[in-house]
Amino acid sequence: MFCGSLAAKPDSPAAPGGYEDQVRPILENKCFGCHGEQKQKGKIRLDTLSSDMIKDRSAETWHDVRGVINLGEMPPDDEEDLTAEERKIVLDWLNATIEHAHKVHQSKGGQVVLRRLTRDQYQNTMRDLLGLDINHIQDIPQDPMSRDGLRNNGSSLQMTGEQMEHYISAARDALDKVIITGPQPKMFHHTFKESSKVRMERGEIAGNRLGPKVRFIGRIKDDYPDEGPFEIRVKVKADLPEKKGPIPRLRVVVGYRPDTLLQEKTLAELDITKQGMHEYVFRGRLENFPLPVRGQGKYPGLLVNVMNVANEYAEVKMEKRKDEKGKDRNFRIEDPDLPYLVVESVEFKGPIYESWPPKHHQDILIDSKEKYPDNEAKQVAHILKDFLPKAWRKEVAPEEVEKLTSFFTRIRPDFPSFEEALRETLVLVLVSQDFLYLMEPESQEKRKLNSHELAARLSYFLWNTLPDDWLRDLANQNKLTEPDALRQKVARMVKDPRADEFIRTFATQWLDVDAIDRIEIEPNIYGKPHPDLKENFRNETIHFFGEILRRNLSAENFIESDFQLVNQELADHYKIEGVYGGDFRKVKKSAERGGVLTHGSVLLGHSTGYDSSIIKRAVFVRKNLLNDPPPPPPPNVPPLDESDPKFSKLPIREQLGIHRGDPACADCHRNIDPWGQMFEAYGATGLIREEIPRKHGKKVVARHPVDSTGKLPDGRELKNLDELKKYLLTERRQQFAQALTSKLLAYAMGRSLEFSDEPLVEEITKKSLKNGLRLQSLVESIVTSKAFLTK
Amino acid sequence: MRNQHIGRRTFLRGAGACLALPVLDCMASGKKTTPPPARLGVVYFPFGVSLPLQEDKQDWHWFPKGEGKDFQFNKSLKPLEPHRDHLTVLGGLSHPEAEKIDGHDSADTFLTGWNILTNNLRNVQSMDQVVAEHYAGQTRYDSLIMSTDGGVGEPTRSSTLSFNKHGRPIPAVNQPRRIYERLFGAGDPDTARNRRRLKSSAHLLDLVLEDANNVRRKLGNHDQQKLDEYMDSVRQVEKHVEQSQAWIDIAKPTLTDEERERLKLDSDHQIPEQYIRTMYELIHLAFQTDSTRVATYQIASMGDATTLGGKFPQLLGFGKHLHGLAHAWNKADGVEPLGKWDRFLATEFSHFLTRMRNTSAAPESSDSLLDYTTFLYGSSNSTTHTNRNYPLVLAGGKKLGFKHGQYLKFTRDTPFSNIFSTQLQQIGLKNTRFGDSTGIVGELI
Repeated sequence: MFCGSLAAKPDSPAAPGGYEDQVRPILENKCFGCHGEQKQKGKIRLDTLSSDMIKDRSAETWHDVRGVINLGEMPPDDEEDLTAEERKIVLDWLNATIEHAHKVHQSKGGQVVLRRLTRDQYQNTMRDLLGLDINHIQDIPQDPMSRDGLRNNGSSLQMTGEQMEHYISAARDALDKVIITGPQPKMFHHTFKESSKVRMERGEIAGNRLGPKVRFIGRIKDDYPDEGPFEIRVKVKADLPEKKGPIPRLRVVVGYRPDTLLQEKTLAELDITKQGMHEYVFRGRLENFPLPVRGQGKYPGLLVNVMNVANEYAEVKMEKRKDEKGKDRNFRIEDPDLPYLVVESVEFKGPIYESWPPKHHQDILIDSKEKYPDNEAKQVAHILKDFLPKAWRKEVAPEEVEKLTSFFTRIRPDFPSFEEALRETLVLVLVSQDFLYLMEPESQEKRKLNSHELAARLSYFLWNTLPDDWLRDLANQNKLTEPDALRQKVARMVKDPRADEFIRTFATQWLDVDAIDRIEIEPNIYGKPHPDLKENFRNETIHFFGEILRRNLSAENFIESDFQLVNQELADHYKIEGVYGGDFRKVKKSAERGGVLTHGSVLLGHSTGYDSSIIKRAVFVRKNLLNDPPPPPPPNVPPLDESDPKFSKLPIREQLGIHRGDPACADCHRNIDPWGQMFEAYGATGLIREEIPRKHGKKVVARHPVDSTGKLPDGRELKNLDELKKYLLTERRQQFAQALTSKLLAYAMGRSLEFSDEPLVEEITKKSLKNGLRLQSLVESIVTSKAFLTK
Repeated sequence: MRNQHIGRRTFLRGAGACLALPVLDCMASGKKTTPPPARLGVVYFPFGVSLPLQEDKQDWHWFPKGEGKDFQFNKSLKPLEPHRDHLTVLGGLSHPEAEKIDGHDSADTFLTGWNILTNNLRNVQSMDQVVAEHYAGQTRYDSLIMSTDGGVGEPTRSSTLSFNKHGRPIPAVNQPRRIYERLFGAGDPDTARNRRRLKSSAHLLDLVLEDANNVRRKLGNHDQQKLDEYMDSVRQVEKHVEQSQAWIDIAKPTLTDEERERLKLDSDHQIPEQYIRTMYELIHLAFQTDSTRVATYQIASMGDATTLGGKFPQLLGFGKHLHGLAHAWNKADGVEPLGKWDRFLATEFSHFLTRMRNTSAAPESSDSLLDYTTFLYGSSNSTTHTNRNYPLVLAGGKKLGFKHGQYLKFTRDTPFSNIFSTQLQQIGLKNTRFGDSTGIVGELI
């Protein structure tokens, strides 16, 4: 965590010492002359500046002092400079003490702060509570990232008036759809046996047999609905090649907005492994698809596309033959090695409702009308008694129901129908703090969570959504508090598909998977990348995390594993043979892979797009894996100067050497760069390379051999990435385990860890190390820990 | 999906026209002593104009002959001749960032100057919304956002010119009757619904606050701080609601019979001439009644073939779909049809300028509405795929300090945003540099 002091324990509770005997003498000698009793140049006086940054709130001034020393601005040119040794002593102390003071100031007394639902949590909660799978968060801004790289930190999650307005309109929009009035809308039903004729992309044709550049299209000209749920039933025959190999992958795509970037959207996609006839039913909501503009003439109609993704990039084989008029023409011929799908029929139905009023309406109104046929207020009270505990994730007092019921009664005369006034009443429910925040009230002191609060914490931790009926029942029966019972529940929740949300969210934030979105691959060096490459990189890491969690494997696998997860496209990229189909599956790792350090997401995300980045990869290891981030670069430090072609030609190590020659950079980089050097055999796209191209502008100006050796700050010399992985798993095992525990705990509770959490982190880490760092067990330990169970 | 966009801002913000908040003390103290307020209008058309290279076709060249005060309109802009002293033709301008994106992706950036392609299709606040924010609350609507296609379209094919301060597109309205109801109508369903919701919002927010207050007492310090943030947000919304309610209770302006007859509220995209004229007239009336001070109108979007505005030239008898028409800008038989479309647009613009000049800026004022309006007219393409040398006309605003009657040619050192900064300054937003602007255009003031 501290520049130059890797050995320092993170979260060390006592402030770093050494000021009086080590730092002060240096300052006295070199600084106090101008910033002491006699003179206070720049109005800065250091001899009386307290070294206790916490008690005396002097951190800000010390922060400035660090800045000018870092930059080499102080001492000034005409004064005697600090020696390298002195700089190191002073900066190490400053870095450690400032960081320490920061943490103390941030402290919330070890309590979870009232947490607003994150953007994702709001989306999932609205969807699951209302049974309405549409985009509820269109206008809600992205959540901020806290210092620890997580987006669910209660302190960071803000609320503004504008955001509040969005919640109100999102609730109104959703309830307009959920609670219906009027008769059931007419259902449209279309069956296609032959593909419609539609203007295609160049080189593409419409047809039933889905080879390369063929798609099946059902065009619904005018009679389609604009909203509501729909169903698409696809009957296809799979026609696999004789020798074992590629398999077809069905993709169904809906929408039609030609000439825009969102021309259409995928409804479903799946591998088909068995020869013969298959029938699938897919469901979606039209609001989620780009619908055509009605009333325009050129490209009318809603399109349902059925494609075979396996052949998406396959070459169309052509043969010159004479046509019936004896003219030479090119004809498509079939490639027997490709997998085919033959579309028998495609059926569209929508809007489709199994009942009217629809289920989502009935789930809210339940039996209110039958029970209290002539009393609207009683109907509403009845509805609220059922709805409120779900929405607010707590036991609801009768007064709360009464209060809302009287709101309904008050506004009812202004609204033309019962349903509209009911919607408005439920809007109130959905903008209340009990809905928008994870409320755990009554806590001047630490206290045990009640069972509903615990159910909500669990559910938002592992599912990123509200508790379902099962969890609510358990909470009602008080069956969540027993540690053994709790462990069982965790195991069950992790198996549930909803845990995908946790896996995706946590893996993405912990391993900074989104870094790949910040990098563009340089085609002059790597060629044009496969359009799905980044998506496959992203999924690789997410599926990998899921595999380790759900099978309760050791977290050591994140550093080194004997397996990896790939689909066909990614296997092609990594040059692994024999993987067919678009689904991710576990395979034996290839020689140069294993662990996340060899994942495309990490290697590309921490590259420059045209080359590796020693520094970014080094920072990744220290920050994300070891929870030991180097201090941020001091202000105004320029990145490596790339304008000089001579400089550009140099191997990156020599460039960094020049950088280290600059005293402003040296102290930190000495402890950063070595950690990234072992990755040098991997280029920006994550593949092994024989040589390293150096670029100036867009041109490659030099090529250098790969050198993956490095000497870590503790003197250890490592030859390559495998050795770094071994080193991490042995020498840094404890630190890695502690880092992962800290991150999981911070995520689970939605707050930054503090000094007071340190004993707990150590305890959980120790336990986890004992049982081989099994990931699901670690999650169980966190859930059963005191911190998780108390407010 | 599109419908959802439109439906979304029904709270406080009706689609297109952001419902504003009256500043009550300002309304109470009469306006006699203050000069009429400045207005901002923008009209946009896609795919550029006719800029023939052939010697014998130069009379269809959109840009005038000559330069400075000494210039002559060619056929395309000839209809603007009567207003020559009230406008400046701008040549050579473009958004440097927008030059990096495809020609057909640039409509989104006309008022933002932002490269959306390298920013995950996220835009930034458009210049008109800077002005809308400046006037927020002083008129019934902060801004009137219109387009022929309505809604927001898709990124790079937006059917709106305006983006809020988070860079989200603001849905445009496209049905004259609905716009009319919004501005002058008494009982349209939207208003009724809005009124109901505003009223219930007031109760609703009351209850939310009351409840939060009860809970607050039971919380620890850190939680209280968080809850305060929530309560502050609710209070902000409450204030908006109160102010919006105040507007609802103020009667909407009434129109004279003559004014009403001018509006062809049933016109739609099938009858371009009448439709575009009506849209212009709605801007004129909105400004005249001070219902809003900011209006934008996109005559057609870059979606072209899949949109409503693309077929206008066909319907008008100029032959092709707009995109195809524009593509033929340098073909021997393409120059004139495109030039005629340019001239048609200039005719409608000229008609609007006449209306603006014949209307007083305020009831007692001897100055015209145009003198207090700065109006930008143009495209983000010069020719179909070229994001440079935008064809632009800046009109009106003499009383805001604008100098006109000239054709200014700029070099590449002047980003288009400098025009925005100049407009913002003259409107009264001192020292506002818009986007990548490097300064003010001195020749205009």
